[in-house]
Amino acid sequence: MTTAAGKRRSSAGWYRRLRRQALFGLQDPTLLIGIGLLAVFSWLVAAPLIAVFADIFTTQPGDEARTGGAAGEITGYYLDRAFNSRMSQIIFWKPLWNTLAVATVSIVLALVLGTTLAWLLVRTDLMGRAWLSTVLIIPFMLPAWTFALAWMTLFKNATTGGQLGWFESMGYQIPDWVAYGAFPTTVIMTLNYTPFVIILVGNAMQRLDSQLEEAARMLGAGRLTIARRLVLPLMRPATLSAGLLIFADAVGEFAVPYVLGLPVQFETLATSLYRAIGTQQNGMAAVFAGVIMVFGIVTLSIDTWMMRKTWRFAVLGDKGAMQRRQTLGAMHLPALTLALAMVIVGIVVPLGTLALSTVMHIPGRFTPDNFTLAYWIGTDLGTVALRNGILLSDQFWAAAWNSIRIIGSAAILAGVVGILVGYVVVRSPVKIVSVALRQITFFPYLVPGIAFAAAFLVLFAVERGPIPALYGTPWILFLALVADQMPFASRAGISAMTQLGREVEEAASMVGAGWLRRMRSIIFPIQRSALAAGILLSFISGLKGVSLFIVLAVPSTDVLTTFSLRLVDYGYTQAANAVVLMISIIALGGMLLINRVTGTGLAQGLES
Amino acid sequence: MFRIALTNVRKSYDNRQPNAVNDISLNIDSGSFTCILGPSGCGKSTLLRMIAGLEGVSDGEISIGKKVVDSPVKGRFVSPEKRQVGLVFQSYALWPHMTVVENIAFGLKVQKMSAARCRARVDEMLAVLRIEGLEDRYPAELSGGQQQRVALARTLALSPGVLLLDEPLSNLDATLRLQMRDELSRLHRELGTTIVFVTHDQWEAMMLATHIAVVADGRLQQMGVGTEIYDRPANRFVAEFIGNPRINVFEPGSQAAAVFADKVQTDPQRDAATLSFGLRPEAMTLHATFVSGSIPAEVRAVIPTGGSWLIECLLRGTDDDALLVHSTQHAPGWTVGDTVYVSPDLAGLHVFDTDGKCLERPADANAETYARLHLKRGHL
Ligand SMILES: Nc1ncnc2c1ncn2[C@@H]1O[C@H](COP(=O)(O)OP(=O)(O)O)[C@@H](O)[C@H]1O
Ligand SMILES: [Mg+2]
Repeated sequence: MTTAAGKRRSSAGWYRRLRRQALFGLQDPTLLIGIGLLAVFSWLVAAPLIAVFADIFTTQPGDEARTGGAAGEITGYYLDRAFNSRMSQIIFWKPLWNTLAVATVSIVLALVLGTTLAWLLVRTDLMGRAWLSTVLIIPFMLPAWTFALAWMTLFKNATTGGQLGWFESMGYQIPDWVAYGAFPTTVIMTLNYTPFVIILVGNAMQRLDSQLEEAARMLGAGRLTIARRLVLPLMRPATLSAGLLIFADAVGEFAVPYVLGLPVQFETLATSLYRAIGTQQNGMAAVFAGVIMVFGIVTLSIDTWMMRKTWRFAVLGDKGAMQRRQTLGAMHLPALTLALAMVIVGIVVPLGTLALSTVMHIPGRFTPDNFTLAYWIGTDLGTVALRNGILLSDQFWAAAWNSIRIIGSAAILAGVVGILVGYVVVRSPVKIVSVALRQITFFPYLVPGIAFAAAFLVLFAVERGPIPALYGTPWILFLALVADQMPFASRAGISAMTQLGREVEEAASMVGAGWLRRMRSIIFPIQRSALAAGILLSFISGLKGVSLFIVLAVPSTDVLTTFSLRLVDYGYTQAANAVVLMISIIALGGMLLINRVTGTGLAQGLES
Repeated sequence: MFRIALTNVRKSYDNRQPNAVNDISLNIDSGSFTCILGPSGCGKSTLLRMIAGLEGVSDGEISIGKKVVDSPVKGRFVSPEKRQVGLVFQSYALWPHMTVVENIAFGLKVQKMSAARCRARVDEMLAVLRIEGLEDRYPAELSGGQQQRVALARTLALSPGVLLLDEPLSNLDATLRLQMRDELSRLHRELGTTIVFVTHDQWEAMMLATHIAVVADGRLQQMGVGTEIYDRPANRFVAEFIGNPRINVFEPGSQAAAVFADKVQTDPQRDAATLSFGLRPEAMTLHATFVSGSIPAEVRAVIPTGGSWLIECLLRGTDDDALLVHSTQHAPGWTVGDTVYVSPDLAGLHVFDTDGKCLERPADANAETYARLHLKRGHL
């Protein structure tokens, strides 16, 4: 009897405790929101990736004869075909080799150049270093294939149709290996990644207290010894980390090898993936996407692991550690030459070439009658597809409007969700929700755009459950963009929320402001500059990205990047270059705006 | 104007041990000005936040007025805004993107007060806290003292029945502290609100509070009115925590303690060697020559502290050379090396048992009867 009564009492107690827990939880929906966000990102990030890996092992519709099983059945055919068949050499191993070779060489070059330049900018009395440190990171804000187009404008030869490059039309013979394929791809990727190294390594150097070097010098260490035993080891983590981040990105780089490789059948994993999608070989596409993802995941796991280990010592002191600059002396001129050469090769020549090319009828002929504004504002150009100058063409404005509409709304959503993610990560009462959310929102960073786009295609091309088929609608682009921007947006949100004590919000709870009201009147207004920066950064990176669009866009969702790539395919060099210039101008303008809004600039946005 | 009752309140963050707050029961009278005093990290802020409803209790019950506001066992939890409680954070937590007026008006707007009444209430608050003229400034443009007034105005605008203050004076400089102390006393008088504040600073506690609750390691050590906790500490912790300079304590078993134990009249069951003795620095007189019951000592240092002096002596005839600190308002005639004779003043002598509990005085006991109870008559 007594035990039964006791049991009843304790079960009633259990119910009451639960009810109170609910009452307590209701006033703070952070956990609920966190779980909601987790569900959304499982769907937007985890599900597509899982779908890709599943596709590698399942017979795709149409492949029944090849795999010898019904559609949907498990098969090893695709892996076998990629790794271990008569065709493997051409289909898989050659593109893999190309990818790794280009990525590795350009990373090594970018590290050497970038570290040298970072050192010159941060630790020496190099002339004009303030100006240089702004200018030298500009290439990072431009779409990589801007450089590819500039290269083509300069070096294109007669191997393919369309207009010749400047050098050929001036009468020089340009061999194929200079014009297309591995060499130009490597050069351009080097140019594009060098600023990234400058930012990452430069930041690390800024934190390296120069008193450490001085202390070593007091102990009698020579300059070389200091460089070898002190500075290099201390810089190694930052340098290696930059290298790994670039590697993950480079393996998935699509637009540059696509533009420069096509004429000589230079294939990388990313272009092979694109080709497989284009020819409806979904199983093979999944294999390529899977391999690219594995590379991304492995490299970034290595990076995370290294950062967690003893390497952390690299973060010495804070920013504003003692800085004493070395006098370059006799080395000043060569150093300055190097920096200026970088500016000329990396910015002046490509942008100048593009700009000039858009106002010239015939490439490379610098006579007054050859200059024209027709490609910008002309009418009746006599071409088949694009009869008016860019600024007068409906297609351009439609694409521009699409870009702004789709990328802009995705950027806004990404920015807002980024702050929300930051909020949950910092405030969640349940640790695991916070950890899971931080990781899943960072996950798209591990997956190069082209693979991510392929994954999205796999999952959302057809109707699944309550979700209708999204392919062909702006929604698929929109969702992919949001997911793709989450790594930056959520990092920005987390770092912004970490700096905001929770008492500011609790003070609002105390006066009766509910959660929505607190978000609307307290959190978001306080975080408005972080929010603006997050939105702009997402917008710019969405604008210059190609991979997502080339896979997911259809003519009705044409944006500036796909529009210009199509113009490239048509051989309308001037028009294509004009569009790319417009993209670059918007991207640069956005960057300047970010600097204005945050007062700190690009470096910080990348750091966090 | 509510009373607050905490019953066996325990709080553990994420079920971690030790508990941040451990089995605290406390009654705070309606209209009182109560201080929760304790060293850093003892759970004071946690206690305030639980009263405010920003944290839930892990066990026990909190009621405000007649309402149970938090009790897992009864399945009740009343959210912060329904408790009629105002909390001023230690960091003030002003909203940085709102002006002073907007900060004060925000809560009124949330409560859907009409614009005209809201404006009137804000003006009233500006006047009560004497911050007219700062209306359109942002928090970053205010001094610490001004920020605190705005934080108070923001909280008081909603006429809370209970005002909670987390370390209200500790971020202010010396002049502002005095000013703010007067201000808080005035507000308490004028508004009659129940005020609970927490601090680690006994000086603040003594100056402001009508009631003081001493907390250590998440446990309530003593609750007292006025100077009660100084005059009659419940245990060694309170005796040592309250009072500056610190009370002299002689550990059980030490020769110095034996000097006192020798004179103690305890009940026969109690082993005198287990007792420790506390003697307030001001509770003694130094003589140049031996007087009855005095203890010889050697002056080791004379330290002027501005208006008063500290005299450090080594008790003679003890191997462990126990140090005794005496504080006095009068310029001492001693120099280092002098021999003095210390006569303890009974009112400032406290006897603690092995658990650190202070041997109790009977309710009506004054210093002398207390001494008679515990000290052998005739020896002092
Ligand atoms: N949000 C929290 N999560 C976990 N532990 C906490 C939290 N807040 C306080 N604590 C711990 O609880 C104890 C009491 O803290 P607190 O109430 O802030 O002390 P006080 O205000 O007296 O300095 C401390 O040991 C502190 O580390
Ligand atoms: Mg505190």
